[in-house]
Amino acid sequence: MASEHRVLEDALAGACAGDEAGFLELWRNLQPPLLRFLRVLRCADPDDVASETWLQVVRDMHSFTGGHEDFRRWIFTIARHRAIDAARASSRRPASPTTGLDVLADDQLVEDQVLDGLSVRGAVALLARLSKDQAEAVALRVIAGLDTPDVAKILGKSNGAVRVALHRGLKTLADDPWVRALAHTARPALSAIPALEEVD
Amino acid sequence: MTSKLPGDLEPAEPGLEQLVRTLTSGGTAEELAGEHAALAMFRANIHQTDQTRPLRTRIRARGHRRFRLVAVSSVAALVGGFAAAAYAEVLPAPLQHAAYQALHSIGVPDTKHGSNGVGHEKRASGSRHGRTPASSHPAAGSPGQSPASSSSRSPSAASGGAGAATVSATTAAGQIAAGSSATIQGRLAKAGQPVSGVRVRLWAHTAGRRWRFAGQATTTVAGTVKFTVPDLAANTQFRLTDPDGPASSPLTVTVVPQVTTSLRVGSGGFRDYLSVSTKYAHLGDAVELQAYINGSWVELRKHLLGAAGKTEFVLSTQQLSGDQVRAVLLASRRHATAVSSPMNVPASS
Repeated sequence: MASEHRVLEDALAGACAGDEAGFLELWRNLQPPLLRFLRVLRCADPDDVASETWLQVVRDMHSFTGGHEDFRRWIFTIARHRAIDAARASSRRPASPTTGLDVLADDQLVEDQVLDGLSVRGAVALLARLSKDQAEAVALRVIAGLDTPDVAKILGKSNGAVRVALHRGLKTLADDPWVRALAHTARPALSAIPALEEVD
Repeated sequence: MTSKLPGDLEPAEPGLEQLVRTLTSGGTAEELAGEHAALAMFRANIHQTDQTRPLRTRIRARGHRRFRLVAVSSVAALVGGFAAAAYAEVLPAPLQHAAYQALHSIGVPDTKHGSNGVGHEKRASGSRHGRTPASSHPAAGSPGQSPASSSSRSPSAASGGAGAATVSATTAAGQIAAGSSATIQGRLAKAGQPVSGVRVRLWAHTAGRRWRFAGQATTTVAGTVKFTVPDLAANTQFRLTDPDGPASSPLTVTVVPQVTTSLRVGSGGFRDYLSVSTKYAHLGDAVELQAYINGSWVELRKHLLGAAGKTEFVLSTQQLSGDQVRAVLLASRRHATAVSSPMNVPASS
């Protein structure tokens, strides 16, 4: 864990200096939780919002100061803002060309779905069933790996309010029949959970 | 990423632990599929920052930008308001006539014919070239019709609001060597005229993946943008979008993998091996061994590539002595057909 932390600190320093390998290390580490977080927020196009987030990060990277944990907090803050912007834009212009492009996309390869896709999506779908406050708090705490005070800062709430949201969210999840079933059957059960788009 | 519940949270149900483990597991292939696009975006943007300028210059530049923005906006608002009032013919006659002189080319009407004697006189006296402004208006030959109703363009159309701009995409080469760069050019036009200063976004789509953001650029004075996508490893469709218009038609760039062969001659000349190596091909892609016989290439065998993108054919150099052989990687969703250089089978000793 300490070595991973060190690697990420070096990667961050490298990326800020324009090093591509450093940037890729950061991207590989943070892109998956970023996408999962955005899916929990029910972002219409998480890939697009994640790309916007990284674009802003890269453009402002030269002015960033701090360690990897600060960077993690920073990027999730940006992602949340971009997601809110995207939701507003989408409500103003429901049929944006960007949204339309996703409809055109091919289905993911069947073998990819079997190997790796649905279990994570299923887990994200479970989280997205929580109320918005609880889902955001749990996603930032668990998926993004941020501390409670950091989550509170991002959400603009008190530490206490975030703790309450976290515990209520986790309790709701623990009582969910799907989650209870996971105790007995791990991966197959997650694969059977409806994808996020079908959860409404 | 962590693999357990955060330490300050209550001990969890086993199912919850499982859920958290999944949520914090390593990235899936789908989640990490946009790596090339992310790297391209990093290359395109990391050096465009103004970090090399001193802070004071940057602040001053921002201040100037803000001032310019406010100034341009104010002027645009004033001109726009003036033009709108002129279209609505609510300006006093002298101002309406002045507006007509300045903006008649975009459909602003002159003061009404005969409805106001003063205005009519001023139109006549204002003519410097021996003809009245009214006579130069398209409606001049339609007595009894007001200039405003004769204009075929609405105020919004005249001010550029009608009709969405369309963006088109082209590429210099529709087929490139796998791993090389693709160049995508775009043009944004509205009613045939180039539109400059608009942010255009490039989207890329490879087989089995979603459309992904691959970069953005601002149109030049000629309404054009140019993107270079490095390290293209698979057939990719590209589209361009501008903020308000529809996406361009998809543009496909296919890649041709490298195929190399090497011959390993066994003992006796009956069981020899042609090794085929590929780069940018995939497990399960089909490769044919072909021989040039009687003036045409004939398929001898077909193999599927292994995990390392390699396969090996058994052949008889004695039977093929003096002929040419080659390996042909058949086209797939991810790449075009690729052919190795022909190899002369050595004459058997």
